[in-house]
This record gives sequence, C-alpha cells and structure tokens, in this order.
Amino acid sequence: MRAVLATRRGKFSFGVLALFLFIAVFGALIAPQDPRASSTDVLEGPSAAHLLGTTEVGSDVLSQLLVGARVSIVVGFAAAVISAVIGAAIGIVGGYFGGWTDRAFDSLENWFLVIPQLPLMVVLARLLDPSLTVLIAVIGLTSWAGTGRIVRAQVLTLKERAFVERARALGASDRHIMRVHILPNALPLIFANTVLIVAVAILAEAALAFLGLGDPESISWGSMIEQGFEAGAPSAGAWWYVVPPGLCIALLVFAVGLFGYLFEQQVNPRLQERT
Amino acid sequence: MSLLEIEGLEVRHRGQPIVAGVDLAVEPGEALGLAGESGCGKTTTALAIMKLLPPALEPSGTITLRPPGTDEPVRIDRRTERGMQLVRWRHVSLVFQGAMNALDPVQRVDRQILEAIRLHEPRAGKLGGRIKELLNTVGLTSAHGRAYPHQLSGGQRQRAMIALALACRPALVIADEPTTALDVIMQAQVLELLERLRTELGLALILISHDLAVLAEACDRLAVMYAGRIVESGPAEQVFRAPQHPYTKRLLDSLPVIGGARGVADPIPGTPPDPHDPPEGCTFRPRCPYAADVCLEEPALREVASGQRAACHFAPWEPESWAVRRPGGTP
Repeated sequence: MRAVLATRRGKFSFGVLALFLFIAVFGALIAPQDPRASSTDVLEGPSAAHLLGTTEVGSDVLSQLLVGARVSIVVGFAAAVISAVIGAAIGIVGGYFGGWTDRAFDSLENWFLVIPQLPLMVVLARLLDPSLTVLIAVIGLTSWAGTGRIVRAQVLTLKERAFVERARALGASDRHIMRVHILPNALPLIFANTVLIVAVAILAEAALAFLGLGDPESISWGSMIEQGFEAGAPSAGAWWYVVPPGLCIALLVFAVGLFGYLFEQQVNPRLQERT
Repeated sequence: MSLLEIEGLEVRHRGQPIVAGVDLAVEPGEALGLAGESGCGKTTTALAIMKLLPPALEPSGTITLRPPGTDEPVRIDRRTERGMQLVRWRHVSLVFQGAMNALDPVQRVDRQILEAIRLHEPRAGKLGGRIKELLNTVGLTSAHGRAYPHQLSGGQRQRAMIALALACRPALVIADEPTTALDVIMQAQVLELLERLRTELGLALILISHDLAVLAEACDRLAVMYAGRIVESGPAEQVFRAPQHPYTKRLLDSLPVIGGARGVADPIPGTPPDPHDPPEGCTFRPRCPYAADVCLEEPALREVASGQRAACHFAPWEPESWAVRRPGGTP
C-alpha cells in the first residue's frame, strides 16, 4: 500500500478515487439544485445558473452528475465485493481440496469465462425486475471467474507451504486451515483483484443502465447517458448532457484500474519488476 | 509401559518400501535419537507417527501411544483423520524441519501459539499468562510474541517453534532436524534448551538428525537408520563409542573431530540405494568395505552387546577388528 502511494501514478489514482468517494458520500448535499426538478430552461448550454447546462426537462446536469456518482460507485464496489467473495471461496476450496471438487469448480469457471459477460448480464437483468440490488447481484454473479482462477493458483502454492503442514500437525481441520492460514495469506491478491473488478463493475453498471436495464428510480452516470441519448442530446449538439457522465466513468474506471494494477504489481510475484 | 511403541512400521511408495520393518519404543521422559543420511526414512517415520504422510505413501504396522493420565492406549495406525486431530499436538507435537517456514508469515507468533491451545482447549479462559510463560521457557519475551516471524532471527524462530510445540503440554515431542539451519552457537543453545525442557517438563523426545555427535550428546538411546531400516540401536554412549554396524562406524568416521588431527574427512563412498531398485541382501552391501558373500543374505537385527542391536552378519565387532578385517573376508 505504501509502495503504491509512493509513486506518482499511485498518488494520482488514489487522489481521483478519494475525490469520487467524497462525491459519492456527500454528492446529494453539495449538489446546487434538486437533480429531478424540472424547469423551463430545456437543454440549455453551460451558464452561471447551470454550470453544466440542463436536460431535456430542464434539470441541472451538474446536480445529476454529483448525485449519480453514488449509484455508480455503490454498484461498482458492492458487485466487486460479491464477486470477490464468490471467487475467493471457490478458488480456495477448489485449490485446497483438488480432485473432483477442483475439476467441478474449474468447469464452472470455464463456463463463466467463456460466456460473454454483457449478454449474460442483459439476459439476467431482463429476467429480473430492475433494481439496484438486482443490478449488483447480476454484475457480481457474472464476474467472479477470473478471481477464482487467480486465487486457486495462489492456493495451490500456499497449501504446500510448511506452515500449512504444521497447522495440520496442530490438529487443525481443513476448514480451520483454509480460514486461518490460507485466506489471510491470499488476501492481498484477492484485494488487488477486487479493485480491478470494481472498474469492470462500474463499466458494467453504465452499460446496463445505457441499455435501459438499470434501476429506473435512481440517477446514475449510465442512466444519464441513456436519457441524453433518448432525448437526442448528441444530435442536438447538447454535449454537456452526455460528455460529463462519460468522462466521469472513464476517469473513475481509469483511476480504479490504475490503482488496482499498481497494487497487484506489489502482491503478485509474477508481476514484480526485477531489480 | 512404553509411551510410544512402533511395531513393524512399513511405508510404501508405489509398492516399494521407503521404510521397512521399523520397531521403535520410547519410554516416558526418554530421549531417542534417530540418525541417518538424507532420504533414509527418518522424516517419513516421524510423519507416520503423526499420521501426516502424504497420500502417495501408504503405511502399515502398528503405532501405539499411551498418553499419561489415560488408560486407553491410542492406536494411531487405526485412527481416522478426525480422531487424529484430537491426538496431534495434544499428545505428540512436532518441531518441523526448517521451523522458519513452519510459522505462518502473516500471523504474530503469540497468535499462533494461542491457535494451538485453542484448538485443543476451546473453553480455556485467558491465555496471555500461559503464552508468556511458554515464551519465557524457551528464552523469549512477550515482545518476541508480538512480532511477526520475519521480524525474528533464525534462532528466535526456532525457539518460537519449540514454544509452540510445548503449547499443549504434550508427552512426546518429535524434533526433526531442529538445528540444521542454525549456526553452531545457536545449535548448542537449542540442544541445551531441549535437554533442559526434557528434564524440567519430563517430556519424551525423538530427536532426528544426521549428526551422530549431536545425538550422542543429547539422547539416551540411538537408532541408526539406513535405506528405511534400522541397522543399529542401543544406548547412545555405547553406540557412539563402540558401533556394531559398518554404516554407523563409517558415519562416525566421516565426522570431523575438533582438536583432532587435521586431515581430510572420510566420507562414505557411493549413494544410498534407490528404494525402487534395492540391492540384494544387506542394503549397505554396495557401499560397505567389509562386504562378503554372506552379505547377499539380508541380516536380521539382533542383540550383539548388552542392549545394543545391529543388523550385520559380522557383529559383534571388536574395536581392533575394524582395521584388521579385510574387505571380502569371512565372518
């Protein structure tokens, strides 16, 4: 962690992340206007009253942007956590026991890795009623396979280490060994991977929202782009409607991804630069 | 009644014995030394006692443990995995070969000692005092307990490992090459520590090492293993002074003598036999300078001096006969 923050790229990504997290928490409070309030200023360009212009119903784009950060970030992180928990559990149990358990989990992972994620998410989201929880569950359930693979590989080396044999000599059960010795030793890798999944999940949320499969009740960056698109903002030259949320998504995903890569570089021995 | 009794222990790998016909007994409070070169089956025997052999190795024979305070002997060879979890560490603990790797790198030392106690005494109350006492016993402080393994030196980690081995007050501690990765000073300290703990706590010890001199000093009895078999056993002093098997003799000759004449160490030529292609007769025959035709028959382990047993057709050996008896002679 300290090594990541020591680099300029690390400071930058951490700074952007912190800023977005702040907006996610306090966005509703610092938004200058009610993001849903309509007015007669329809699709106005940026002005002093509306720093980022207005929507087709005259709502303030900046306010929507600030409020929408929360959904994007909550969905991104919550889905990543679900994906990490499933991936870690399957990776640890499969890697530790080996044999048919491992082969069964491996096939399941293959299945999820091979099926294109977006269409699968679209189908799942379509089947269920769109809400924030469904969105989180759908993204989380479709993105764990990579984590499972990486954790399994790490567990294969961990379980051969002497301290695991010692734990067995202590009279520890398999469950105890996995929980107390394997999991903590694999945790940095799981964490690094989860950060990378956050980036994927944020993009996935935006994509689903853009396809109209998001939660219709809430404002997110993805739903803003969708609304703007529906309202014909791009052809009307109303760039202020779709460019800011797009830029925010790009910047957040970039920062999260960069942070994740830097962190992974520290904890994944195969990525360590030789000095 | 012996604390531990091993009868006819055999461990097979793909049908071939890695350990064959090992009989051992350890009395309460006794230190038994298990000697032999790499791959002779010392560690395999130790792991068989804990029932921790890798799945590819199949053990047979009986291993009986009689923990003090219980009437019921524990038949380790018949225990299930679940049943073994209750025996491991509670009655028999193991100081691992290369103890530095046997500590979990992401947990503080005192946490790992606590883990061992909690596994066997889940209802125990506060254990801070007991852990401190354990650390003090091996010459460490609470500050060492709060450290992560990588923050300790090799000797300190070895001591922490020994403290861990004592955590559940077992009747028997198996120490597998406990001094191998340490410098000579630390070796002496660790051996002294084990010796002291044995007399103070009355625990029995199986000390595994390739270093006969170390074993002779620290143990009451010695068993020398070669190619999975015990070739000689007896009182430590006696085996060290008057070996009755050419392998033991050669092993002792290969040791450098401090203060002795400066010369070239006298190594044993050749390598131990491949367990998948064992030699006919005595397993030491191909490397033995005294081998004769009779050695094509496998020698039995028999008593050749009081309390001393050797598996050699030529035993008992008189001290002078080592030099006199020519290679290829008759018994």
